[in-house]
Amino acid sequence: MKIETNRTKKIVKNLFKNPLNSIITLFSLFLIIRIIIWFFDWGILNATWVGNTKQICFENSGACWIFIKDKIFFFVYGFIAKKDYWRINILFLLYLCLGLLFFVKAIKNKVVLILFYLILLPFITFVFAGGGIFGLSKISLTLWGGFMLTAVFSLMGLLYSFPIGLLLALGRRSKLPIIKAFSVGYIEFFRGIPLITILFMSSTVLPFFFPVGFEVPKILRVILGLVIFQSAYLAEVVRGGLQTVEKIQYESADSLGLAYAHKMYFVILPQALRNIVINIGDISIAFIKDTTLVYIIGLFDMLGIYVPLTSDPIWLGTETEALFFSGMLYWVLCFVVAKLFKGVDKIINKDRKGVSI
Amino acid sequence: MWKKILFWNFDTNNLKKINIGQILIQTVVVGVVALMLVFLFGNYLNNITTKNINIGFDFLDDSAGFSIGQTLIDYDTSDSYFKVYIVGLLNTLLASFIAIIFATVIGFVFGIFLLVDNWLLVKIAETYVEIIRNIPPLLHVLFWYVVVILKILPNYNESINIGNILYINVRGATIPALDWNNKALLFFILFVPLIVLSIYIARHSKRLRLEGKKAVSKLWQVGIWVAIVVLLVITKPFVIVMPVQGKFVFTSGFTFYPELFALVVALSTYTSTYIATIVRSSIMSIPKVQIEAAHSLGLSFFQRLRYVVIPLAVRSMVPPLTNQYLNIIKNSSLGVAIGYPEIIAVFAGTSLNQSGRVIEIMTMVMLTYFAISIFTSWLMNIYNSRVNK
Repeated sequence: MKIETNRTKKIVKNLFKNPLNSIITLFSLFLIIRIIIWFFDWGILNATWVGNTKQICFENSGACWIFIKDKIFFFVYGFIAKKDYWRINILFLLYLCLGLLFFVKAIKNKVVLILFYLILLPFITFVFAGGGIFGLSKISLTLWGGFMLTAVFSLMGLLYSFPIGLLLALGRRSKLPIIKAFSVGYIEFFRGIPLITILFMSSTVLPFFFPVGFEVPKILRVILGLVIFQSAYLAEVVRGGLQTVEKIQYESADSLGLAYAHKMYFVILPQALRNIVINIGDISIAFIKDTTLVYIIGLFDMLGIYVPLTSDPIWLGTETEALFFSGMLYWVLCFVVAKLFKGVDKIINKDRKGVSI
Repeated sequence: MWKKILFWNFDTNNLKKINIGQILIQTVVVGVVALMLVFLFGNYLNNITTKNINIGFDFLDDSAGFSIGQTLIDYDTSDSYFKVYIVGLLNTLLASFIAIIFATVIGFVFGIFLLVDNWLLVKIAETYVEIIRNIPPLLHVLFWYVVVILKILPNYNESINIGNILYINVRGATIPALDWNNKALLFFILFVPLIVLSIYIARHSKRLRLEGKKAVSKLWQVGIWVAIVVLLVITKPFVIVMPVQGKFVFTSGFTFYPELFALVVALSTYTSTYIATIVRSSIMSIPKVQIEAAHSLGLSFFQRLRYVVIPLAVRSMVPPLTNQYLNIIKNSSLGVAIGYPEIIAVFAGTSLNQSGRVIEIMTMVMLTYFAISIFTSWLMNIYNSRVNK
């Protein structure tokens, strides 16, 4: 307790130690209080919390939160029919279980688990959210939206980009000239163009490359585009990780007579990937934010769904509330994922001696 | 010498070490990729012949037939697709350039806020960075456009009027325009050498003074600027046209459209958070000795910043900063969501839908972004070598 009071005293003393600091402190306090009061006013005091129609909203000058209350299921499930919500709930539960399986100690080989997921994830997604088999009714893929669509894109994108990015990073470091050229070309190309270009391509250009009459649903094409994009960024991060492993590890593995694949799988990659968990977390969060771009090609994820929701004739003019709510949802999502990766990093690197700067 | 050229791995002492496995893998890879390309292009040709679309860049001469909101050069609906491309390119460069400048300034300011002595300021900066960073850039763009500009700015009839020079309303900000006449070329031919001379004298003098030699008198600089003003007065290359508010639209003056503002503000605030963390980590990587030396020299806070901290921080800051600048350039494509006519919106959007030439247009757009990225990286690399001498 004594140490805490000393530190607080020191901080407070610092705030006023010279005239400039005092002015800055007072001005900052003024600014903070002003912003908090404004937000409190708009968002809580003068906001409409109960009611059913927009008419009630006009009575209060603040936010119209009953709009969110009315439409909240759209933010989560998109335009899927209410009677099918239980299927999406099961899907979310399955996603959670698949994620938790990673922490189960009984499963020794997590890599085989990931390979298993490569097939399992699209399978359960398209069974529960797409339907048409096992006696479940068919849900049209065009009804997907909201948090459910963001989750599908993020999970599938991150899962599939991982093996491809890994192979690209290894290919970039390879001595074989053709493989190296392909890897470098792929990585530099897809890192140099904006994601919107790739999404535009996957929605307008890609159908031209399929045989005449072969139709692939838009969602699948978009996932392909997202995977291609993210694998380039992941390849760079993994390459950074491969460079953190000391050269002596490569040489020791070679001296043991290990083949290339064994060397990478048993010696190098475990060390390299442990070092870059936080970096992978950073690009994963950036990827989750990048999935919002599907709004531009007409898909309604957690951000884009504000457009059809605010076009509802009874709720016109509520864009502020919708965007604010979307922003909050994304903020919470990114925050949670960041904490998740920090936790994973701690667990994985529990036994390592860190270097304190 | 001939031996070195004739053999695959150029190592004449270890010729037998050519690994058949490696050659086989590469041949297989090349074969697979070639097969895929043949398959894909075959399908592409099939598809476009069934839809009666041609291949080739000849469509660039066709008339575009649609109008564009904000253009930096003259454009009307009968102009070619190539002009559409140029207009889009200029708009992309304009938005990126302004956003880069603002993002750097705001990022530096908040980066320094993260490291001052004042606990409150540090916490404010940290909160700003944490909140803005976790919100997708598209949401920033939509927020500034839909919420701020469309809802807060007044109508055309009730424009904010600042001294009859600046009008602000929901359709944009209108300022006086410069009407260049035919004397402009003459003016520029004489103007540019004078500017170059002025810059050269400034840098040469600085170098001479650092070496302790006597530099040319500063009157030369004054003289050059007087000459420029005289040139301006004599040739009168442009006429300043004040904005005139007509019944429905401004009949003169240059209008900055709100899409540009929204895009620039959104990109600047979003990227400034990343730049703030980069600045903070660069400053923290400066050896503490330097800062202590600056303190012991009695330099004030701003003097320390200007002469010691920032010059040393810039040395490690340039590569991640370049990365953020490239992100700004790529994120400028978000303008398509709010109707800002940059290259994706007008060329890869409207033009592609109208002409149907997907491959040609997408290739042009991708090569353009590539070129802009490489050019920016090159410039930053030059700066990097300069600060890391």
